[in-house]
Amino acid sequence: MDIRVASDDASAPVTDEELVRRLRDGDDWAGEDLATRHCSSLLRFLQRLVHSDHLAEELHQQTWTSALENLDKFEVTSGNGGFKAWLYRIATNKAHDHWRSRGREKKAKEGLRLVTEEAAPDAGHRLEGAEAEAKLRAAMELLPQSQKEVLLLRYYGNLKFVEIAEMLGCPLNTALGRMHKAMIRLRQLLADDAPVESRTS
Amino acid sequence: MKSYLQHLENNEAILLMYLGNELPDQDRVEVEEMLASDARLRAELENLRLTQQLAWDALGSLDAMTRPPMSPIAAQNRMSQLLREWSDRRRQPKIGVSVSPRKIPWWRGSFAAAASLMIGYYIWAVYHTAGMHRLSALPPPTYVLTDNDKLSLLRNSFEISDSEDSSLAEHVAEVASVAPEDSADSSPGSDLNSTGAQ
Repeated sequence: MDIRVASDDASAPVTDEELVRRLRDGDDWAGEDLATRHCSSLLRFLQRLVHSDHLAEELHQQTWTSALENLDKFEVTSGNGGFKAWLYRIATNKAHDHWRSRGREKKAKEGLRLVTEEAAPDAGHRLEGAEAEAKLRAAMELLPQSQKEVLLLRYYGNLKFVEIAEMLGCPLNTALGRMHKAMIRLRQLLADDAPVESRTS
Repeated sequence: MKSYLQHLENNEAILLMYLGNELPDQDRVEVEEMLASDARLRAELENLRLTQQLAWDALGSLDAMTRPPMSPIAAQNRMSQLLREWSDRRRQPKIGVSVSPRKIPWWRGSFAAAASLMIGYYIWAVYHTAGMHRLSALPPPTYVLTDNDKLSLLRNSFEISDSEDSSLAEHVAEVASVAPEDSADSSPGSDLNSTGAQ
């Protein structure tokens, strides 16, 4: 029977990197702890990023599988952000891979979805299909992809701008500019009373 | 800690870093001094703070209104399963990896290289010689001209008219009759007459 080993210093929270170290040493509970910490936010991040529950779920599993398979490559002491930044980097790359492989199909479906969404919301969201929700979702979807990535990484991953810039391979000023534009755009989209879908992005 | 202020392009970038508490202490103090003395910058900061709050509220509301792609329990179970599988794979001894690779003596490499060269040269030599033999074994080309061919050549070369043709045939027949016996047998003295008659 597995018994959880308490941290040496009970008052200090165990860092992700410490949990990674324990997991590498064979402590499965450390892996459970890591999952508990990041599962929900990572799922939400992917859900907002790809606008599909099914795909978000699939990418979520791929992300964790990839993270576990490459756990030995993660440098605990590196200055490239911690485990969380690494995990979100994998998730973002998985989403990019998916878009790259299904680029044409996505573009075709994107237009169709925006047209039909208002008229026929899917069953999963029918009961929650308030106007506000539809408006919020549509506003998020109308954000340019590069801006949305920064916004979501910031919100769900709580990553630093430096980490986000490094993750996306862009200068810090670019990441900050994208964040600023995303916030302004979102405010504009939500401020107007007109349906978001009717406006051009 | 390095200073960011010199590298950040505009006020929005500086204020976003300030709001996110990501500036080093020295930069932070400098920004606070600027804010204290610049009302417009303070307004800009407040505006940015509200805009950011609106974005966070929007995302928070959206999360509250929509279900996650899978329930937390299901996600946790899935993760536990992934972890178990990963741990099992990790604990399995790796098959097919030799513990200590066999050490090969240094001279074996040189020996193998020399042997390869010799074999290569031998194969080349054998094929080369065989090729030469094949060429020399071929019979020399033989081209035998019949009397008709010779007559056609003469006609074409000297543009002989029909009237001269009969005298030429006679002349050729005479030459053939003077020719030695053996050559007349093998080449076509015999049918020269018939050709000339035609």
